[in-house]
Amino acid sequence: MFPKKLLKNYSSILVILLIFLVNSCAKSDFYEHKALVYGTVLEFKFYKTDAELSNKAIKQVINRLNTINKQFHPWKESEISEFNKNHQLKYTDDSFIKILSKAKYYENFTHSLFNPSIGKLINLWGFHADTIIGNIPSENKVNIILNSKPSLNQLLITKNTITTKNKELEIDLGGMIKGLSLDIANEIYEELGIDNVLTNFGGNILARGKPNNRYWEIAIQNPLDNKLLLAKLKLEPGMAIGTSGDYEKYFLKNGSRFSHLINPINGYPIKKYSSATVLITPQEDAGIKSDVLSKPVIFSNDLNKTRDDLNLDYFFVTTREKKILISESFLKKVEWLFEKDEFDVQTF
Amino acid sequence: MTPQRINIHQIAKLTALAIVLNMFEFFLPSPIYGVKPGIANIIILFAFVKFNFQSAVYISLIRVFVSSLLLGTFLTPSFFLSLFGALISLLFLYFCKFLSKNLFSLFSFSILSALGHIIGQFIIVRIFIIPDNGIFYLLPIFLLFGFIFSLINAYVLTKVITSSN
Amino acid sequence: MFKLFKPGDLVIFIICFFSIILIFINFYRVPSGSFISIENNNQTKEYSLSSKSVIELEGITIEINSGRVRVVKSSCKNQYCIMQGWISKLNQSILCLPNLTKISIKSNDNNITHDSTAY
Repeated sequence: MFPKKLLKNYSSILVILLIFLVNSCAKSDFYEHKALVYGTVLEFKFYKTDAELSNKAIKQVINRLNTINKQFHPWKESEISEFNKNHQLKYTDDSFIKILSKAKYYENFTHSLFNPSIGKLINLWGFHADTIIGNIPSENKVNIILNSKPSLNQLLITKNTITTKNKELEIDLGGMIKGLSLDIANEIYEELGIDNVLTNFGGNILARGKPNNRYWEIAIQNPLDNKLLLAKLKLEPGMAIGTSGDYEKYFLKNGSRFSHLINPINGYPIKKYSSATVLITPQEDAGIKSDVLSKPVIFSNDLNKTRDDLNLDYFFVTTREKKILISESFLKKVEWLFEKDEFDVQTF
Repeated sequence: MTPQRINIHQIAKLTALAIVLNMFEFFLPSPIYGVKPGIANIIILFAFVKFNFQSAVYISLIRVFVSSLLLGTFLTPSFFLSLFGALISLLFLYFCKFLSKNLFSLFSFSILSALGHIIGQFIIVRIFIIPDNGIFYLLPIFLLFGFIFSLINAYVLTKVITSSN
Repeated sequence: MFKLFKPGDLVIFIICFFSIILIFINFYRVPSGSFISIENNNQTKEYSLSSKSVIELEGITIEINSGRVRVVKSSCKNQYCIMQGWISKLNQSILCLPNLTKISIKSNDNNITHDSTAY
């Protein structure tokens, strides 16, 4: 019969075609995801990782970061905000103290150039707000805070309470949270057995593993123009990179730029350099270091001394006068992306 | 194969078959909306090679009207789409009448009528439904699918005809 | 008897096949080095066109997949941005005014490829 033969011939061909179509849906090796966590962009790029596993990791990371923000957010409702108001706090979670002691360690390690205890000073300049209006404080007010020499060493930590006698001490872990988040993400990958992923949290990047036939490649944004790129470099497995810049949070008054990067020594925003970028070799706390160590670099008076103090090989600073001061070893690693002579590159 | 005379019964039978295939195709899932194998076209090609061009016209047009009544799409945009597609497809088939049967086979007719169908539908879509040149980005995709399916259709029909001889 | 192919078929086959390929090339040639730029609340971000990703921004979710980009979710009233569907050609763009978002495909002469940007 005509119709029967027709169907018989047709169905076999349709089945073959269907199999062909299903097979040809080739999968990409990379899986990217971007999300906002408390106003900061969080980006993942997984290489050859099961999609379900990737999503599980993403979910866990976001959950952990939300918890950390609930504990440490410097001006929204958080345990730290409560402490800053009352100068005492009953804490419930041991991880809270663990993070605080990390912060204390790096405060001492950087000779207080990364100082998480000057929250009050940062607030005084008007940076504890979602939209920054800014305020130039009187010298007197700044000095009151500086003279109290705020430091995490002044915290009294008992079994379930934290107190301090210094009423000028307010904790702000803003200079560490991004890096800490990267290390936390790394722990989660470790637990889940994810080997190759690039994580970018608010511009700080941690490379875990690498794509099959190459290294992770990242670009560094031009600190003077966020539409341009300054340089490109390869991140070896375990490396982390971080930048502090006066373009992140700032306000303009009387034709001057006031950055949120406030020098804990003199209480005034950074003027000398516009950005500092540090590359951390694979090691423990690579994420935190990529965030924290950019502070002593940007507030540095002597880059050679800073290099020795921090035992840091790869870093550079830029100025608003289009100058780049870069360590010799780092120069070998970067590929500049700006037009010739746009920046004056010097090594130290 | 020499063309045979066709009677009204045969037209009715083939039309019914074309309608059934059309309905079957309607319920077939498609990865891209609008991409269909055009199985009913087999019947029209069959009528064209076995009988004559006129019978293909009858079957094609009756099929369009009856299917749309059965599916409840009569006088809706999708009805005009399939009507105009069928008309342009028939126009292409009409030119095939003049191709030498020694040089060209069902494959050519199938390809040309399928492409005609798609081109016809795109003209209607561009003029009446989506008056934007952007839709032409879809044209090559539809043409490619139409092309592949027309080859399959032609192959199937050839096999059916040879085996029923 | 029918033979499977006749000489004329080959001619028709080749002509049709190559014209379809030609139309394809004509419509789907994306200049190399083009990328997606997403402007959201006065911030501009760039993404590779070849990546596969979902970008969640405030009020709007954007999907990039095999050279195309579209809006998947939006908090706006009219949902015009979603209705626009995929874009994949140079200089095409999707606007979502309520969310202050512009997604456009731009060309990059330097042809820089990188996985992420530090800032």
